[in-house]
Amino acid sequence: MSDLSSFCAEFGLEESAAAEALEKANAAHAPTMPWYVQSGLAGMAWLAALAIIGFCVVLVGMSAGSDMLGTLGLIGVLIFIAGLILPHGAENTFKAQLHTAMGSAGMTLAAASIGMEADTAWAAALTAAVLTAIALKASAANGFLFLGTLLTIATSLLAVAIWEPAMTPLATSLLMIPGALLLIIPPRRDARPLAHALLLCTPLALTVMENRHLLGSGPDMELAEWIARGILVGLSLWLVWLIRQRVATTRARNFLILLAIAIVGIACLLPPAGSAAMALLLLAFLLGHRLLAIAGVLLQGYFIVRYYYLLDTSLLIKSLLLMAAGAVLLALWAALHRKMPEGTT
Amino acid sequence: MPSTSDIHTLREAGLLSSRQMVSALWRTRDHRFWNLWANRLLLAMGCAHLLAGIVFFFAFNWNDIPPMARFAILAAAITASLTGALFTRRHAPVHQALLMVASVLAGVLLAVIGQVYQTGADAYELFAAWAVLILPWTLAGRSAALWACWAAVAYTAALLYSTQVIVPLALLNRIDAHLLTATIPLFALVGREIAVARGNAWLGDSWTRYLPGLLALGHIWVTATSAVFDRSPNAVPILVFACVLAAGWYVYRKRMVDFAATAALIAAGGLFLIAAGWRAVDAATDLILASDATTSTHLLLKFGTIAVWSIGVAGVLAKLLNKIRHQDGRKTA
Repeated sequence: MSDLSSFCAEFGLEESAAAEALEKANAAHAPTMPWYVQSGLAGMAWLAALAIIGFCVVLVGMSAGSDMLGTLGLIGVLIFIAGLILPHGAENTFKAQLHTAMGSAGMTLAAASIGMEADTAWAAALTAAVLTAIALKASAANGFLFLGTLLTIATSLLAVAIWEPAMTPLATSLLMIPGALLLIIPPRRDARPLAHALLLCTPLALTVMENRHLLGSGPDMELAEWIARGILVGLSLWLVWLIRQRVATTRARNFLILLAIAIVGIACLLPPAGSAAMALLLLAFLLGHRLLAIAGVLLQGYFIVRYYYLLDTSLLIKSLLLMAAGAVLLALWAALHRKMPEGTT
Repeated sequence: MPSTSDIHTLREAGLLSSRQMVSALWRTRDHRFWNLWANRLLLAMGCAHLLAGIVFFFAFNWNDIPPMARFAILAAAITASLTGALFTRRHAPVHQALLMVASVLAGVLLAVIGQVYQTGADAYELFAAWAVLILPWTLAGRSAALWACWAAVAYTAALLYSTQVIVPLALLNRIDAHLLTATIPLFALVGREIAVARGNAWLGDSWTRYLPGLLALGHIWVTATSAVFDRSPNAVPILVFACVLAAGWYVYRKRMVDFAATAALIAAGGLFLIAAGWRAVDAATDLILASDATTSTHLLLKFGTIAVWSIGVAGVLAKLLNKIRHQDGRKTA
C-alpha cells in the first residue's frame, strides 16, 4: 500500500480524487525563483514603488493646494489598484514583487492619508481593512495579503491604544487565538498569510508596548498585562493538550505535564510577549511549521536576555541564577535525551 | 507520504475537513526532526544559560582579580582547549569546537593585556597580533569555520589599519583604501576556489564560497558606487568593479555553473546601474532645468525618471535571471 493510499484510508478520503487534486496543483505550480532572487527583486520593487509614491507626493504638493491629504489618499488607492491589476504569476518574478510592493505601499499611503484627514486612527484601520478585503478577493500573492493584514492590525491596535491604552495588551493577546485557529482548523481558502500576520503581530506588538512611555503604566495596565498573560497561557496549555493527545508514550505525556507547569512559571517571570513566543513555539512543534519555529526561537531568546538584563539584582546573583537555570535545563535535556531518543511521538 | 503543502492542497480541494487538518499535519510532519529540534533547543538554552552565568561570575569578580591571575585564567583556558584538541579525533566537531574556543580566547587574552597595560596602541595592532597568534592552529585545524574566524579577524585588522593609518596619513584616499581592503575577501575567495579544485573537500561547503564572495562583492560595490557619487571623479573603483563582475561571470557561468553566484553578480551590476542612473538624473536635471526652476519641479523630474529607470533595470534583470534559470534547467534535463 502506497503512502497516499494509507493516508487516504486513515482519513477516509477517496484516493483517486486526492491523487487528481495533487496532480492538478503540481501542474499549476510553475517553477519559482530561489528565495534570494525573490528577496533581491522585492527590494528593487519596493524602491520603485517608493519612487512612484515620492513622485505622486511631489506632484500633489505642487497642484493640490489645501486638500493635499484627500488627494494623497486617492492616489494611494490608485497605486493600490495599479498594483492589484499587475500580473503576479510565478513566471513573472519581478511583476509579482511589484504587485506586492505597489499594492502594499498604495494601501499604506491611502490608510495614512485618510486617517490623518479624518483625524482618527479608526478611519485608517477601516481603510486598511477594506483594501485588505479587496486584496483577499483579487490577489493570491501571500506577501501582499500578509502585509495588508499586518497594516490592518497595526492601525487597529493604534486606534485601540489611543482610545483606551489599557485595552491594548488585551486586544493584542486576543489576536493570537484566531491566528492559531486559522492554522489548526483552517477554512478551505488558504488563510496562512492572515494566520501568520495575526500570530507574529502579537509578540511584536507586545514588545513595543513594553516601552512604558508609549502607553503609560499603572494598576490598570498591570491588570491588563496579567489578563493578556492569562489568555496566552490558556492558548499555550490548549496547544500542549493537543500535542499530549497525539504523543504515544506515557513518559512523553508526563514530560508534557511538566512543560505545562513550566509554561505557567515562564509566563509569571517573562513579559506577556514571552508567553506569546512560547505559544508560537508550541504551535510550530504541533504543526511542524519551521517558519514559526524560527520566529519563536528568536523572540523567546530576546525575551530571556531582556529578562536577565532588567532583573533588579547584582551581577553575582544574576550569574548564580543563570548557572542554576542552565544546570536545570541541561538536566532536563539529559533526562529527555535518555528517555525519548527517537520515534516517541 | 504527502507533504505539508499537499495537505493544504487537499484541504483547499475540500477533501480534508478542517477538523482533520491538525491530525493530518501531525501525521505527515517529520517526527525525528522535531524531536531533535526540541532536544537541541533545550541543550542550546541550557549551555547559553550556563556559559552566560560563568561569564557574569568572572565579570562580577573581575576587578578583585590581580592582573597576572586574569592572564593566567585565560592562558589556562587556551592551553586546556588546545590540549583537549590534541587528544580528540582530528576534524571531529569537538576538535574543531575546541580550536575555535582557543581562537576566541586568544583575542580575549590580548584585549585583557591591552586593558591592563594601556599603551595607547591602535586597535588594528590587537587584531593583527590576534590573527598572527591563531594562525598556527588555524593552519593545522583544516576547518572551514576556523578559517572563517581567522579571515574575519584579519579583515577587521586590515579595515582598521586602513581607517587608522592609511587614510589619516594620506597614503591613499578613502575610496582607494577601501578598495584595497576589499581585496582580502576577494583573495580568500580565490584561495578557496583553488583549494577546492585541488581536492580539499573540507572547504567544499557552499557557504565558504558565498561568505567571502558576497563580502568582496558588497565591499567593491559600495566603493564603486561611492566613486560615482564622489565630487572628484575616480574611475579606478568602477573599473575594478567591472573587472570583478566580468571575472565572476566567466568563472561562475562558464567554468563552474553556479546560479546563486551568477544571481549575486547580476544583482550587484543592476544595483550599480540604478545608482549610476540616479547620479546621471541628478546631474542632468541640474543641467536641463533653469536655475530658477522650483525644488518641486526638480524633485518631480528626479522621482519620475528614477522610478521608470529602476523598474526598467529590475525588469531586465528579472528577465535575464529567468532566461539563465531556464538555460540551466534545460542543461540539467
